[in-house]
Amino acid sequence: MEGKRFAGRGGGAGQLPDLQGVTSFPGRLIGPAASPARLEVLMFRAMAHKLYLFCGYAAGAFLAAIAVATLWQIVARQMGQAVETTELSGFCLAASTFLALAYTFVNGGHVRVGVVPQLFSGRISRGFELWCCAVGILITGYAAYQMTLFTLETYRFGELSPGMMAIPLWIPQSAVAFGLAVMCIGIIEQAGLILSGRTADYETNIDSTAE
Amino acid sequence: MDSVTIPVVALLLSLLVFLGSGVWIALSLLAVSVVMFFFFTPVDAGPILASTMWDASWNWALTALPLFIWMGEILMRSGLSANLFRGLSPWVGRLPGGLLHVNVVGCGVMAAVSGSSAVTCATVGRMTVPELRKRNYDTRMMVGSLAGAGTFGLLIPPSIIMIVYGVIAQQSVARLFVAGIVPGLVLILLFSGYIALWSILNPERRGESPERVPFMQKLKASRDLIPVVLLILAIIGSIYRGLATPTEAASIGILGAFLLSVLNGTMSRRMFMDSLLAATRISCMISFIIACAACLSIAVGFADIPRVVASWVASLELSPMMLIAVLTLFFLILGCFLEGISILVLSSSVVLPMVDAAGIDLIWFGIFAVIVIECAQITPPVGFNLIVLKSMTGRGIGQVARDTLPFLFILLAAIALFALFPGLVTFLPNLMYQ
Amino acid sequence: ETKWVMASGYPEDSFFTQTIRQFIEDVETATDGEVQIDLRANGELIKLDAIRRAVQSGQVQLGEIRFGVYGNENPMYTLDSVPNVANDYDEARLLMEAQKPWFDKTFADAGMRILSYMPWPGQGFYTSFEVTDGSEFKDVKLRIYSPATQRMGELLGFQATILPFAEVPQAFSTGLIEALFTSAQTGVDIQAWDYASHFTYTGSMHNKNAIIINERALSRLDPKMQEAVIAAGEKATETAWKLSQEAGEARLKELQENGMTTSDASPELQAELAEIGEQMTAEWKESASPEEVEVLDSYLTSRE
Ligand code: NA
Ligand code: NA
Repeated sequence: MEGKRFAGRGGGAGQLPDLQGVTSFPGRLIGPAASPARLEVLMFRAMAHKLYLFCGYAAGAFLAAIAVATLWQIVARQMGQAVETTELSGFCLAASTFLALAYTFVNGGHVRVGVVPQLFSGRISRGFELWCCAVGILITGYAAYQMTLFTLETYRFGELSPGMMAIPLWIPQSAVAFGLAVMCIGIIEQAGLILSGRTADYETNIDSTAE
Repeated sequence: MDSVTIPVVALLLSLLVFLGSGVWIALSLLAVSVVMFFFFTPVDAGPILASTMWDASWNWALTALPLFIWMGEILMRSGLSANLFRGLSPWVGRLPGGLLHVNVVGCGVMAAVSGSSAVTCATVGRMTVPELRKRNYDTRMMVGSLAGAGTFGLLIPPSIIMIVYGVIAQQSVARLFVAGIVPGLVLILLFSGYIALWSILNPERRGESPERVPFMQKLKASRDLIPVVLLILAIIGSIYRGLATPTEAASIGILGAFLLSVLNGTMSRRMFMDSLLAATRISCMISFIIACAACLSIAVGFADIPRVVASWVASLELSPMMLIAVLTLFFLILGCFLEGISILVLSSSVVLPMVDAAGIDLIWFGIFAVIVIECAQITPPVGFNLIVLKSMTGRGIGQVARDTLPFLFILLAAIALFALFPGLVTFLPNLMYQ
Repeated sequence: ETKWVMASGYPEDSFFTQTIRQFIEDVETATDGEVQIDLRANGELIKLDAIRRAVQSGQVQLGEIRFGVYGNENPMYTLDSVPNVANDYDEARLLMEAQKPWFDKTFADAGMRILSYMPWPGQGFYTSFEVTDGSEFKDVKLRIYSPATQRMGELLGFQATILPFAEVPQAFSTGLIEALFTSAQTGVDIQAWDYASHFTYTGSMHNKNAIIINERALSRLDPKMQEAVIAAGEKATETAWKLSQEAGEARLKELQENGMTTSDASPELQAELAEIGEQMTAEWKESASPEEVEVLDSYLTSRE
């Protein structure tokens, strides 16, 4: 099970679970022939994985925030206070979903159908993986770009949420745009891994939650 | 009809290419919607994709999804769901079908709490899959019954889709909720009946059945049921006593599960983080697909496909029964690609007047629409329950869809049943609201 | 030939959509079919709250918006939500005329133009008990949807509960809320007779919807056609005032036919609402800028 695997690598009980890619990558990458260019790639990968993990934790925090906000609303209602957290919960949901994109991705959490690729192995299968990554990079790049423009426009228009809290909409929207951008980086990084002849993290860390 | 032939072909082909070549489902949907926008609509794709994705991602009704998934994670990791099975096992374990019925009944109970199909399926599956596997139950039956019964989330009140239907068809949501009760129970019986029958016909594939135990010992074992039963009662109670809305009830579920796991000594900082992060990943996967599916639905809507096809059906001037048959087919096909609520909203402007003109009761039609949209949850490639179970069991979408096929047929048979005996649907609401 | 897409937020049979259909027909006739508008009603492509943005950024050319949604941006959007500022259709019309220059300027600055204003029917209380002087409201749970309704509810002694519209029917049947303040139209939409027995009409708010157009799209037409579109919009305002009134009465009848007791608010309740209205008007003035207060003053003068 995924959770246990995390825990196993993370070590002691007080330690937080870690991304497989980060904890395992020195062994996988630093060979005797580690050149300066390679080290740069290595640095990039390490930073990228830190970024996914950071966003993953942030996403978890936003998920927990939904629970807290909703409970607050129920309790306040019992005490006769009109507190509205429905919008806030919605914004936390959006932030949680999109910030977790890359983190979920490298953990193999995004689902695919893939009937054809299963029939092949070796070079052809790698070709399929690269095609998938290429489509993914283009589409998430496009989405991240459009979402950024959209967010900037919201900022310019000065749009506020219609509910009681009057939150500027560009704030939650930037989490969405940022999450998409990190996802794009994630796919680029994984595609690099495949190009250098390795197996992508999303294939090794199958997030099959009920195993 | 001719005006949308090319867009339809392009839609199917591009979906086939992206999904079939292994591109992640959410990204495939997004890519296809860009294709549709680019070639078949008069509007600029970028801004509308961004705004649709944004609107779909902060939908308040969806906030219950991550919370119930988190609750399921905590219950599973704390061993509470294992206790549930230990308590139920002596009672139902020796019946034909054994603990598989827990999937069906569990989904029925969860459906009384949650308004969505994916939530029902994910929450119950998270608890039952590991336990059923431990007891060597047939995987195909386990997956099929879960995916099928998960769709009860839509039919048994409360239900998001009924609220949407109520608003667009100007029908009372209360009546729709009441109308969903009997069909929901009928479907539970049909599903359980099928499981029992299958188990009698396939004795070699039954799971482990527990030892026969005396009644008093059964009662004793039932103590294990108490915590989870209390939790379920608290959630349902909070809704029906007017303490919380169905969406809010999810947070009561979290609080309850958290307290229970503290009480049984399994809660630790690591367990908390593990369950939270696992819930984050699952809910990210589902919510992202929902957001991307919304983009595709809007693209298809701008390309005018549902409206044109529905108008074509209207022009056929069919008898009520034929109309229902054709609409079933129409919704089933749309349901393969679009997300449930969109199917309803996009076709409503043509379908509802047509149905009304044919003299079909709109409450009955609401229940019909809900059941057909339940079918959409378990038809590939875009079927949320299939996606949830694929992620949970690691089986392929095709496999999961095949496992679920018998239950899809039962849903269709139920539609035929309710068409022949519409009173099953309309009797209760008419009784309650004269 | 110009093809426009228009997004709107209500079902086909609502008077808003009927007004819009009429407007589209007028545009097409006046331009000899040169300008064609494809209406996507019921929020099927763009949700009501997102339509202003969609028009502003040119995703669609025309749209229907509800002013009240933007109350957080400027108090002007909620002036018509202050109880007893405009009590009937004639006063609502005067208020609209007074607000028009401000709306015209605000929307022009954002690259849009308001073609037409559409008033909501007056509102009232849905309860499961008879309402006489309003003392029955004490500690009753009222569903509110805006700061204005919250303030009014609290001043009347209600316990205010905020809920998304979609939760209303379920919340009503479980007792999470016990009263609703909205129009007869909305009451019919959610079939309020399944939850409540009495509708007490106060008329005290006529909120507005509007038909808006993207200025760039409009300016691409030749001047004659632009005028035709604007004229059709002005006609739509007249249509809306008429249809809204008719719909208000028809919906009230529908409530009665379904067994609800409907009545006008008693003089005592009206007096209390007027008092609350005065207090809320003062509060509104405090939140508004001098130019905005001027709009209110000019309306009050015109009402004299
Ligand atoms: Na349900
Ligand atoms: Na489907």
